[in-house]
Amino acid sequence: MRRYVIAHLRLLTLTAPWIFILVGQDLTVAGLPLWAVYTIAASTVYAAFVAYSIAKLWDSNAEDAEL
Amino acid sequence: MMPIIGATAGEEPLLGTAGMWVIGFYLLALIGIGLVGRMARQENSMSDFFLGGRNLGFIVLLLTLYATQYSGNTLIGFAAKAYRSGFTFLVALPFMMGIIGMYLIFAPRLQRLSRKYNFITLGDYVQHRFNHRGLTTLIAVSGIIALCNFLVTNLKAMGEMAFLVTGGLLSEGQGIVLLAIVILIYETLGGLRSVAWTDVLQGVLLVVGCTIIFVATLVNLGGISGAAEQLHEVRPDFWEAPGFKQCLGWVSTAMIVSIGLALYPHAIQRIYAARSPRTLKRSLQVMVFFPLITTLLMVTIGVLGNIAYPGLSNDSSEGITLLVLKDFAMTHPAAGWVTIVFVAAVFAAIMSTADSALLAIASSATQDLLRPLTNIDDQHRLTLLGKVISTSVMAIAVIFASNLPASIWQLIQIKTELLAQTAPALLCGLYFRQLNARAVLTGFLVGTAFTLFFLVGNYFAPDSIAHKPFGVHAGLWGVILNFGLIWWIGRRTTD
Repeated sequence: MRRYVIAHLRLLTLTAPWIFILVGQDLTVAGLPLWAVYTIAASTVYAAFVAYSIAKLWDSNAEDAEL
Repeated sequence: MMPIIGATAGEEPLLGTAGMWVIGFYLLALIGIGLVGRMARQENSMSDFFLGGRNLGFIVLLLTLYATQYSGNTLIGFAAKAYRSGFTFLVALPFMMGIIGMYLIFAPRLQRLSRKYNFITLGDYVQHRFNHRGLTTLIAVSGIIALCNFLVTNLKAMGEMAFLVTGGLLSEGQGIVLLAIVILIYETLGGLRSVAWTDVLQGVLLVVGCTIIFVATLVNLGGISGAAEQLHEVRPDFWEAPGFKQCLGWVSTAMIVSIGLALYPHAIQRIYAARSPRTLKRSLQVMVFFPLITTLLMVTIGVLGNIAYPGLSNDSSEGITLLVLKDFAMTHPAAGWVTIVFVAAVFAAIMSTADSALLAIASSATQDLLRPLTNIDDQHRLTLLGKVISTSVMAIAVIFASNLPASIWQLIQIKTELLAQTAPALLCGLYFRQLNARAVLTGFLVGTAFTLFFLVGNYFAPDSIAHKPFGVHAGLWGVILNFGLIWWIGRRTTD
């Protein structure tokens, strides 16, 4: 779970268009700013990561130690 | 009083007579579903009333989670914020997805414990884990305050929608009272079972409504490229990529909102109400993609609203979704049904959130606050008490809704930052066996006080006290401080 939390925070951070502070800002895709398309794509990757992690880490039959 | 969706007197009604009949039938259908929920009742108990007998299946759970998380704010407030901020409000995508990312951290363990110990509220878990009535009460009160805020804003939006739809035939106050009565009837009849079943209808309407208005807008503007070209002419500033400070604010928003909204007491009740861990797991796997078919579409509509309606003030822009819709209805008179479906979707979004918030307030007030005080253990009497509280809270909220002082977005931020202060108690409680109540209580109190100092201070002295110290939300600093104190005190003390 610790690795998931770190990856979750990293991917959430990467949905912000940090990279476009350094590279050119004038690039467009279908008339839309590239950085906006990047954030949509990065968010979709984040969603796929969460869906995959739910499948991988969530054991529906698990029993926890008493907390 | 600040208008939320730009209602002004003397306007043409948004819907014709036929449209108003459809909305009327829709409201009757909600009451009918409430009645069916009542007939499906298994027993007269808190668990049955507030958690639907812990038997929500995949489709019902998915759509009730969806309809609850996506309120009128998604359809009205998000589009308005996107109208003003441009593409930078795409941050709404990661923060809505981040809610599900947060669930994976705590929902599996919390759900197992809730089934084992018959939890009704988040307060039940806190009391079971820390055995500290003061901490449980504080967390319950914090959740109730946040939910009351949410209930009032949604009631306010309901009133304005009723005013717009009827062209002033119903005043805002009358609209609020009418719709509040409808909610109270179906909720009192069947509790969460009725609310969840109405959410199925409301969730479907929400998806259909968002898709329709998005497609209609794009068709009106000549597709993506045509719309982008026209938008660039009026708002070239939207094409500028965010700088460092804005990116920092982006991450801060994504984190604080996803933490805060994941801890909605009514969303946690749905975690408890799932039929099985597998049902909950599958629902969340699908729900993580829902921002792509709701949030993204509404942000796009808000941004594109600048083409037809440039230069709207902050207040006027709150009505951008409905302005875009009116624009489409005027240019395509034959497609009047689009307006009807979307208006129904807006009512659905607002009502589904308001009813869930009301139910969560009633359950928390009954179970976490009044039950320990009164020592009532009879399930029938407790359920009756919950219904009385529900009705009383609705009556008070209706009064407050008539005097709402701030816009939806300002309120949702305050609520979210307060709710987020519960996260360290929940997460640390689930994962750290040695943790004691003193550490959690200190962390919660200091984190909440720190957050309130900046939020309230900024409200009264905006020039002296920043809402986002060093570009990060005060609530997120509060959460970090909260976690830090729990760790520090927890290491030095044990119960």
